Amino acid sequence: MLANVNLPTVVSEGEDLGRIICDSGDPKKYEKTAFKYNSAEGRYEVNTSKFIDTRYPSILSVNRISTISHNKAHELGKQHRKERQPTSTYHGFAKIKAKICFNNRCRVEKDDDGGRKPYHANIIYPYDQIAKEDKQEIAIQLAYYAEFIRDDLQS
Amino acid sequence: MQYNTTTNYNAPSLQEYATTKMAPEPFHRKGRIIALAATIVLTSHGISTDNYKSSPSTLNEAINIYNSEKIEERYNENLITLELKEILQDREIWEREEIFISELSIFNAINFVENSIKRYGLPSPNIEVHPDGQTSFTWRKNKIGIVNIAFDDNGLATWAAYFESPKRSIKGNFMVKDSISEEERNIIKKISGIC
Repeated sequence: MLANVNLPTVVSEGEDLGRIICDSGDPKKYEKTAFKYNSAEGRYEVNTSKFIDTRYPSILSVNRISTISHNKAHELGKQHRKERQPTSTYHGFAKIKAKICFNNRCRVEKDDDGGRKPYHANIIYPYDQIAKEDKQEIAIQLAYYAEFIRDDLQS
Repeated sequence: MQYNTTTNYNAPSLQEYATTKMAPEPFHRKGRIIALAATIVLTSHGISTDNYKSSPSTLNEAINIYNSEKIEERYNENLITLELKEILQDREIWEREEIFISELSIFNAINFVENSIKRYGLPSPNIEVHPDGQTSFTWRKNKIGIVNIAFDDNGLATWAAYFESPKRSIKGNFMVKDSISEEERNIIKKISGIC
């Protein structure tokens, strides 16, 4: 099925991106590293931590999810957990418009592993973002506009 | 939200009881606050909370304080410090899940609570741990904006803020020992919606 999927090479600003959230199953931990429920506003919020990377430039792995359902996006997340973070819990994904990345001078590049992961792409921070506060400036905006799509059947 | 202790009681630890029995997700944060309140109550009576097993009366006392005296506001700074100390204590447990947290960063975050949050009566932040091991504080409000301050090992606090309307971002850094500037305090207050 995946072999027939071939998304455009260029990611457009209207596309939705999903950043997979696999983390601890312990609320005390994932609330500090991944997402939390804002009881005052009645919604989940994604932490800035999920958009900060230790590499230079920062690279954030995402899936291009505009053409698939949320359930399908969750399936991709669970597959990722199985392959890369088998001891973690899959919670869901942070959904964000590519436009927010472009507004912050980030690149979003297709990275489909030779067609094996046709939905995969990377958000790449600008090269001049060196200081920690530079990374924070982008991360807070991605986190602020991200919508957390929680998997009801967490695994 | 009012809490009661009518759920099953089989002497779990204070934290376990408050977080899992009384206040299931998504209210577990309040459960933890109640547990911390109970810790404060016990400590104020000179009772050690090490290996303490909860009792309904202690928790009821904590719940009453929570409900009637706005525990989050009253113990604001204490709770943040306690949460940070809890992370410090649990660092080895976190490491088993490959979450590495800098001890010095936690100490600097605690210093910030003392030097700035308590001193200037700033609102309570959410604690976050960044992938580089730095502890950070976030204040955010929908339709207003977000600010995140991270603490490195050397006492440098780096921050960035974003306002939604009109759209603008600002950033900077300061030494934790010097405390926060008036401009930075005002940013936190604006984003928290208190000025």
